[in-house]
Amino acid sequence: MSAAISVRNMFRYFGPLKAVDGVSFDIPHGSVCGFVGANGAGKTTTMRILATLDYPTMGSAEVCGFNVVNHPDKVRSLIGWMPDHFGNYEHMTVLEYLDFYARALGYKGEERRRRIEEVMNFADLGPLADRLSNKLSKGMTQRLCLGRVLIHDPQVLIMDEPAAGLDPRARVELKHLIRILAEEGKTIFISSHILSELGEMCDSLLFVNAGRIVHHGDAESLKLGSDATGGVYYDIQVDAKPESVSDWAILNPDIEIVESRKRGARIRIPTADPAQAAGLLSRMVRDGVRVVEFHREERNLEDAFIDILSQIEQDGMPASPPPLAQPQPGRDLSAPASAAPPPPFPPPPQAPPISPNPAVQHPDGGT
Amino acid sequence: MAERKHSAATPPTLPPLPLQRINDFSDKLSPMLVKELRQGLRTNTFVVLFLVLQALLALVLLIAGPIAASEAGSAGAAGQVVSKIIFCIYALGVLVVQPLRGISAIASEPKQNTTDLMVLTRLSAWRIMRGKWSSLVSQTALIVLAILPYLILRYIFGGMQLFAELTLMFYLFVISGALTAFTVGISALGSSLIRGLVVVGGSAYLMIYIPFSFTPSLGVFIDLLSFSRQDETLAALGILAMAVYVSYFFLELGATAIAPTSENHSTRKRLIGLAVLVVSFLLLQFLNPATALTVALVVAALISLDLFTENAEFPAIVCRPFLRAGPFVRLGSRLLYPGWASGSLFFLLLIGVLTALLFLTHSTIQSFIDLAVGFGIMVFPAAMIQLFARHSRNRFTIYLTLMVVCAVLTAILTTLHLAVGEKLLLWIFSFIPMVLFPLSEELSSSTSQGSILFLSLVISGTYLLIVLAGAFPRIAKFSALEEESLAEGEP
Repeated sequence: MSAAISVRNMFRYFGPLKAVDGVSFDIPHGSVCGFVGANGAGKTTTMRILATLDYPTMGSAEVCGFNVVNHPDKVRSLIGWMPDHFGNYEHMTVLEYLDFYARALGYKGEERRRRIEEVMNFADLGPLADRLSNKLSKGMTQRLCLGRVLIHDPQVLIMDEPAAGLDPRARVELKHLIRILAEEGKTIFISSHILSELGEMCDSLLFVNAGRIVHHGDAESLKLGSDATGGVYYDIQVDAKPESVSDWAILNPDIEIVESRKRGARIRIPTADPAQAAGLLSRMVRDGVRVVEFHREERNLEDAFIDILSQIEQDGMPASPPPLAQPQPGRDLSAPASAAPPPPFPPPPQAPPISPNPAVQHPDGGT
Repeated sequence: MAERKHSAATPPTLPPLPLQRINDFSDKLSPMLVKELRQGLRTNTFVVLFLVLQALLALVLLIAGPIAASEAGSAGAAGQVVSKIIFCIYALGVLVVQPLRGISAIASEPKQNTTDLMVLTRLSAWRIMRGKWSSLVSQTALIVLAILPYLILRYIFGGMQLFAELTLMFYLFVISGALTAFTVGISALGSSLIRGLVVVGGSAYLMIYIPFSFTPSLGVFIDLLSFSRQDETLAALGILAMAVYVSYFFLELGATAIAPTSENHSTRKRLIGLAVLVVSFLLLQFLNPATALTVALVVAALISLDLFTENAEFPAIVCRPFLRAGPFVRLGSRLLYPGWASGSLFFLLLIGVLTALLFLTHSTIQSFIDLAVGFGIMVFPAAMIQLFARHSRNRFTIYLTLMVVCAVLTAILTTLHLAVGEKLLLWIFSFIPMVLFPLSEELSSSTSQGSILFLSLVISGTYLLIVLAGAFPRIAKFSALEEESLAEGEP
């Protein structure tokens, strides 16, 4: 079965800036994929290209087998795009807002009414029907945006930081809605800074750094530390000043203090060997550290992300993980992304083409 | 898509959704028009304008009525005063206030990050622009309809040319549509400098012109629209046709600005512009050859504004229709692909066509001078961009700003020349083609027209060569794009 989203050796330059630098990945149908990276790592640009709002300088991107540059209209009918930031129209109610998009998507008469009713019920927008759309809270606005995204019942949802700025309750509500959509079999490509949430929702995670994919795998393997870049984490609590742990750790170069805690610290050791953990504990006791608690902790996704970035700093940028699907005909994709030849022409100096005003592109300053 | 399931045992009973309210506009209307009307009719500007117009007009009639009744002999004169006041208020409303509302029509969308969302629907860039414009124009139409009863009441005062005054009202409505298209188009270009210039400069000019020039000479306009003479009729029709073209041009300019680069708006825009130029020139030959050339140059200036300011980048997919059409069209594509580089070649075509038309219509050498200077004026800002700002992302703003600066400088130099009588200043600034107009007039008494034509050609030709030198490397890349288009699939 072909992938719902397939990106091959994709580059995007803005003048001298490489926003996307030879990215390749596949997202299977019906899966939820999290897209993780620091600000400016290239998440928004990649997502905008997939949403047909930008185009790659080189390489290709396909949604359900349709190239985003060559068949933008077909791709648009298949995707729902939820940007990280968007405003609402003045002097327009929630109902009128949804009605506008339903009309713009070509729905007429009873079908239009039915589609609006469905998304309003799904996103619980009924009580807000007559509220002005620009007077909603952030959480309500995101629900409205989700409602808009779903009007044409897209197969693939591309969501850029949908939970940004939401309060905990709104975040839970949004997560609940996304989970329902995932259960319905929609392919969801979602970026977020809150990695713990992505871990709960996503079947796989894509880590991006400086425009390159640095990891593509499932959340569980990252948490268990089975990934090549991982380590093992221990929580140590002491019956003394918490600094006693870090003071002791300084003398042991194979131990890294990850986080100082109220009653001790969280440390990382490079291997998962139980004998080494036992040796570590006995050394601590022998050196006079008054350990009252010592247990292994699951690695969280933030740790995994930081580990991967640290590994890159040490070893240099790794090659992008090889894509799952076969390369597109007509393109030489046999070489890994890191070995891809530089583009044969200088990068175009122009801004992204969709919106003439450069300020339009990334209101949050992200790329 | 399944509806969300409530986890509670007894789900709360919600009131039915007020879905009947979304049927207030027919499905046949453009979604953009529906949206803009819903928003526009709720905005304060429209409501205030509408109410103020009504109040002012009612007041005028209440004052004029008793005056006319007490002085029976002067009823006609009172009626004419009422006409002037009605038209003054009406013109300010439809030529200033309504078009100005368009200045933020598209500019507000990127701020709200809603352009992307619209682009992803089935709304094309052209439909978005047309919807924005038609909403404002339909609100202007509401104002026209609201004023009509006052005009009919004014008929009672006597001395009214009903048909001509109604026609004038229609003309003002059409010109309002063109001005609205201009502001809506400009609003898509993302330049606050240009928008500021339009708001401050344009509206200030009209607010002075309408009460102090248009209103006092209302009788002249009414006579012109009585269609008593053939040339007046032709001129009136010409104005109407030009308003339609200007409306189209600026809406298309805005559509190009907001459309994805994979949409080619340039080819249609250029071909329509060329057709309008040729037709207007040939038709107006019957009226006055000098007017014909002036109108053709104005059309060429509009086309050039777009030709020299388009973004030069476009994806390979744009080449496909041209490759599909065969070698002849493929050759023509060099002039019709989007971007200022191909635009520079199209500009050469414009020069060629207009020169050929001048030869065919046995025009004078003065018309060739005007042609050379006119094209020099158009190409000068493009050459300056090429020399000093070739990597600028906002060519449109620079081009238009340079044009305004040249106009202001020429006006100052001409005034100084007329006051002092010294030609030196004009010579010093003769590298600015616009200055060649007053200079050629000055020289016409002492120098042969051939020399003036030669000077105009040298100056304008130099700027054209500068632009073409910058364009050719980009044009050379078209072949690579065509190859890429072929490689990506069947053309």
